[in-house]
Amino acid sequence: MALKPYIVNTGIITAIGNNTQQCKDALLSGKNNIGKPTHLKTHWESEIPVAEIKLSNKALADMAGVNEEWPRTALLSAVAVKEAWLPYAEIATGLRTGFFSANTVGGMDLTEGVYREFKETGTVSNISSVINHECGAITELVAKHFKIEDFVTTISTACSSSANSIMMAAQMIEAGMLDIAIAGGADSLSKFTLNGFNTLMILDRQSCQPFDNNRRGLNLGEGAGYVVLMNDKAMAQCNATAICTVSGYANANDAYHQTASSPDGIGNKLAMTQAISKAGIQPSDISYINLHGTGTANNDSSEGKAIEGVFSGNVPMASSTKSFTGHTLGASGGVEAVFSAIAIRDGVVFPNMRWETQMEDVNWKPVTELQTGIAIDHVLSNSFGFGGNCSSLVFSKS
Amino acid sequence: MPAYILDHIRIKNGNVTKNGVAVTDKIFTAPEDLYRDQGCNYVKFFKMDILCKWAWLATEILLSDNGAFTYGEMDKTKIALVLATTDGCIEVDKKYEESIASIPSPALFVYTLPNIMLGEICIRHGFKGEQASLINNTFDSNELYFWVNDILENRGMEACLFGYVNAANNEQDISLYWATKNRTGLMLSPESIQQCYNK
Repeated sequence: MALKPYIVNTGIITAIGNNTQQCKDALLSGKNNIGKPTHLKTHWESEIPVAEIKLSNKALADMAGVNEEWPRTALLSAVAVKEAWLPYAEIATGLRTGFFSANTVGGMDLTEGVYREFKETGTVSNISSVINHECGAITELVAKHFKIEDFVTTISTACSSSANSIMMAAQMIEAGMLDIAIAGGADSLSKFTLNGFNTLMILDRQSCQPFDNNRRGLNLGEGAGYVVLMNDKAMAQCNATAICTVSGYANANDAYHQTASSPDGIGNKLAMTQAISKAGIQPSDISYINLHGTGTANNDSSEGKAIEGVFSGNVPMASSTKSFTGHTLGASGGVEAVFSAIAIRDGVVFPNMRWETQMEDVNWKPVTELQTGIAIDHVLSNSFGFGGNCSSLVFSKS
Repeated sequence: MPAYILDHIRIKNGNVTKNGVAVTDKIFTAPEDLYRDQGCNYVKFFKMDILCKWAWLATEILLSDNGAFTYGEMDKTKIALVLATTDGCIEVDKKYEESIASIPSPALFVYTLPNIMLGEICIRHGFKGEQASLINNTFDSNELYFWVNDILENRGMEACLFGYVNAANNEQDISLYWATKNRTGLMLSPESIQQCYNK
C-alpha cells in the first residue's frame, strides 16, 4: 500500500508577499503588484509591466542568510525554502529528506551581465558570475546551504516545471524512498525570458486579464514556492500536522507545437483526467480549480475547452491567481500549490482579477469575487508548459 | 537483449542512400527539392528551419515502406528518439538575430533550439517515448551507442530512431538509423553505427 504524501508546511515569495501569510493577505485583499520593474534593467521597462519582487538581491540574501552573489533565482528559492523548512530543520534528524526544485532560467541574470561586457569590450572581469548558469546549479546551491543531501534533483520543463517536481516528490514519498520532500521551484525575471516572450508576442502591455474575451497576453512574474511533504513517520517525529495531501497527479504531452497548446487542449484534458483518476475521485468532487490561466489567447482558450470537456457542463469554481502574481514560469506550479493548500486549509477561493467579458469560445466563467467560509475538499491545479508539457495536481483535505 | 539496425539513411553532398542503395539518381542540395521529388505532402514542412527540414525529410524516407511507415501499429510511447548535431540551428539563429533589428520574428524564434527537430518528428509521427538531443564536435558513434543502448536496454523502449543531423553553410551531413529489438539487420554497436556513417 502506497504511503500518503501530506503537505505540512509551505514557503513562498512572490510580487505580492515575502511569505505565506503576506501572500494570503494580498490574495484576500485583492492587492497585486504588476507594474514597472525597478530591479530588472530592460529596454522595455516603460512598455511591458511585470510582477517583480521589490527587494534587491542584497535584501533577499539577508532574508535567507545566503551569499548575495548567488543568481537571483537561487536567492528567491532560498527565501521560500527557509520559510518552509526552518520548523523541521533541527528535528528531522535521521529522516530521509529530498529536495525537488524546478527552475527554467538558472543563473541567466548574472550571465546576461557577463555577456554584455564581453560583447562590448571583448573581456570578462568576473567570469565566476557564470559558474551557476545552468538550472541544476540553483538547486545545488540551495540544497547545500540547507544541508539536504539524501536526494536532490532539478526539473526544467518550462511552465510545468515545479508541478512536475511536486509530482516526482509525491511519487517518491508514496514509494517509501523518502520520508520528507521539499518540492516546488523558483524563477527570477531576466532579460532573456522577457525578450523571448516578447518575441512570441504574448506579453500584455497592461495588467493581464486571464479568461477574459479581450485578454491580450501574460505578465511575467518572479518568485518561488515550495511545499514540505511528509509521510506519517516523519509527521510523528517532527510533530507536524497535515494541511492537505497530494492525492493525484499526471503529466501528459500534447505533441502539437513548440510553444502553443492544441486548440482543444488534448494534453490538458489528459493531464486533468488522469490526475483526478489517480486521486480516486470524480470530476464532480473537485471544489476549486487553480487555473494555469496565463492570459494568452491560446492558453485560456485551450485550457477552457479542455475543462469543458473534463467537467461536462458542471465546471467547479475556478480562478487564475496569475492575475496577482504574474506568470512565475518555473515557479508557478509551486506558488499555486501553496495557494491551493491555503484554499483547502482556510476554505477560501481567490478571485480571478480584472475579468470583464465572457469568452466567446468557452461556456463557463471564472470566479471573480473572493469566496470565504466554504468547504474545499479537493483542488485541481493546472500547469501547462511550452513543448506541450501538461501537468495537473490534485490536493485533498486529509 | 541486443538491438539491431533495421534501416539506415545517409544524406551527404546531396546524395541520398537508404540501406546503401541510392534513393534517387539526382543530387539534392535543397531539402525542398528532395521533398517534391519524394512526393511528400506536409504543409508545415515549409515553415521549418533548415535543420528541421533535413531531419524531418530523412526520417520520412527512412521510415517509409511502400506507402506505410515501418513502425506500423507499434506502441508509440515505446518509440525513442536520439539525435545529435554539431552546428545545431546556427542558420536560423543568425536569421533571428537579423530580425531583432526590426521586429523579432516569432516564426524564426521557435526554431532557435536544436532539439526542436525532435519535436517536429514527434509531432509528425506521434512518438512519445524517451528522447535525447546531443551536441558533439563531430559525428560520435560511441556517444550515440551509449544513449541508444541505454534507452533500449534499461528504459522500457522497443525501438529507437537515432542518428546525426548537421545542416549549415550549404552543406548537409545526415546519418539516421531505425533500431529495434527484432533479430534482423546489423547488430547495434559503435562499430556498426560508424560503418553505416562511413558509407
